[in-house]
Amino acid sequence: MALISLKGVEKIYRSGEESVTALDGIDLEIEKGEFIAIVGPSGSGKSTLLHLIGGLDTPSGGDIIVDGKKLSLLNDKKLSRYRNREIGFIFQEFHLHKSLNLVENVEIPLIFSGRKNRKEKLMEKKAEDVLASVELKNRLRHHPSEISGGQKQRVAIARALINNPRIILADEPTGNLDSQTGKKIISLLKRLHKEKGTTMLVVTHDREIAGHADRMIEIRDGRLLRSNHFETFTRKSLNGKNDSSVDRKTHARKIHSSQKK
Amino acid sequence: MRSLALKNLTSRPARTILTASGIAIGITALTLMLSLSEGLKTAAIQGFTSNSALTQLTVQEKPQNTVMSIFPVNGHNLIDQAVLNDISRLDHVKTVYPEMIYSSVSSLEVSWLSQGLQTDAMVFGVPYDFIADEYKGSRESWDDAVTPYPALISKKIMDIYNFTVAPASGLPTLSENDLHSVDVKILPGQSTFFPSSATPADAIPAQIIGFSGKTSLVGITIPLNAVRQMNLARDPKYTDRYIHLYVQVDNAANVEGVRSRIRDMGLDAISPVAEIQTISENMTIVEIGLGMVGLIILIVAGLMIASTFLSAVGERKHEIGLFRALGASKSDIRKIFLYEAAILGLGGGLAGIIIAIITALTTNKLILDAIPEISFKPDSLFSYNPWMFILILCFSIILSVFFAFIPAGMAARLNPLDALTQE
Repeated sequence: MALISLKGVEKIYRSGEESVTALDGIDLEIEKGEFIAIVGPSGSGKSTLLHLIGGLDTPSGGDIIVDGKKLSLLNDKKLSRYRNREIGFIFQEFHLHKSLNLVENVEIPLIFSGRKNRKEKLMEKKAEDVLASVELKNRLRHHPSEISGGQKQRVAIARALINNPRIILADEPTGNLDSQTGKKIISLLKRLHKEKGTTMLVVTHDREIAGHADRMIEIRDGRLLRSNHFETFTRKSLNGKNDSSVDRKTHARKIHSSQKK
Repeated sequence: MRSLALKNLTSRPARTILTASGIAIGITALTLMLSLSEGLKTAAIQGFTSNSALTQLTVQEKPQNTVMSIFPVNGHNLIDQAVLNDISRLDHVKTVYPEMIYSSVSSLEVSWLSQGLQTDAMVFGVPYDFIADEYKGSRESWDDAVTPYPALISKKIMDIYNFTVAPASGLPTLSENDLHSVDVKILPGQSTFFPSSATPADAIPAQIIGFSGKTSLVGITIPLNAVRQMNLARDPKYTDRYIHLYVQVDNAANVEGVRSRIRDMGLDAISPVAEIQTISENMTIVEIGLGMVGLIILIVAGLMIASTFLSAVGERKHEIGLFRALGASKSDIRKIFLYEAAILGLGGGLAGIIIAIITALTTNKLILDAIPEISFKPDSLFSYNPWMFILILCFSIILSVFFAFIPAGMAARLNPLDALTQE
């Protein structure tokens, strides 16, 4: 059984008389341990897809099933627990709490994870260990304003990993970074995926990230266009421009759950 | 979540201090009002109980009007001997001390600082046994009623003179020693307000030999036999009648029972316990009034909390969205805000209580130092006990949490995604 299953998922935003369809009947299955790159032009619904899978938003129609559980049937408490324990979010803007130091930022998911995990010393030790794993051992008591963009994203990654989630959802993790720093983040994500086998869904315009992915999913105008390996995509999919020099060998995979193995 | 709440407060020190200060001011006001009313009650009861034994009843006729109650005229409002005898025979009554009054206006003439000073005063007579604990002379020297009559006055008269008359008139203050053995002349039937035709030969010599807490504020107290003689001199048909009976009950537990039986006889019976209760009840009204003032100030502080937290919800949308994204439930968000409110209530409450104590001590020192050592000077204007502080502190926390409840609910209901995208 797939870890994540989307069946006819829709998201429609209404504003008075007007409505905007962000996602229009998405059917998708993601296996445990997959590294998926989600690509598509701006406004195509990539981030919306991530938010729905992460339980930050609710679909207007369809079902999202994670590990056999329908997210729509979860109440606020259970959905919050799902976001806390099953999901690790990594945002383009990092979204670090500026009043807290790095250790305290990474501890935040632990604070909301339940009473038995809230012993201060244990939380601190765990946060320090995770920050060490992303090579920030020497910056533990610094605040976000005192570190670089790349370091902030590493803190965000550490925070996403602190509760050992099964799914990492990264929305343009290198979007606000220079190419060199972006490469370091990519290697980090790649290493973590390899070490922990975490299922990763990464929204990206970055070819390198897409290149590391097991599979690429292209979304356009709220619809799932295709779901293939990297080499089957043209650059148009990544950055909106045509590039016929890219290898056009295809290896199409069925994208409906009824035809999956 | 407590650590997050504390962190949020410490990261915004100006706002935190301002909000906590509002609470502190409210708590200071409430604490001062309550402790002031408690202090006034204590002072009032203290003043009352210092002069009364808890097992003594003061019996008098029910006055037909206030004027007649003070100036019994033509035998009105006086208790006759038969009633005294009846009361003496009641169960649990140990002794009855009568107090007789000279049944006409009179005045006192005092030679002071080479001047003759005359003032209206009532003349009361009591038996030796009633003032035996305060009178240093012998029973014979009192009961024999030989002029100059020994006279006792209330210490409060001296205090009032020292506190008001002396400074206003530029006269020197008096001490107990100054008044001891001072000769006075009782001028029966003479009044500074209503001059009579009585001649100076009617003047009766007396000598002030001490102070008593049992004597009336508005006159002097001389032997019962002396007043009886004065009344007989005025009216040969005079029979003993009394303005007050002081009934000594054998046991404090029996006071109410005796009091009830005397009231059934159609008389007024005043017990210290009942008076204390009346004072307490009256002071409770004052307490409520003062407490309301403090409460209103505190409610204003509470509204300030509500306003602060409401604006905080708007300012902290991003933070709330982030917490929700990282797994905080609506209940968690609500808890963070309410913890912050509770911490503010605790901090502001503690500060308010400390400020109130300092203010009370300072005010006491300033005001009581300015008051001379008079008999009814209170020990303190304020009265407080640890339980009062604990209750006020709890109230401060509850009030803060109450006023933060709605903003906390609003924060919890924010859409996580919309909140996260707010910067």
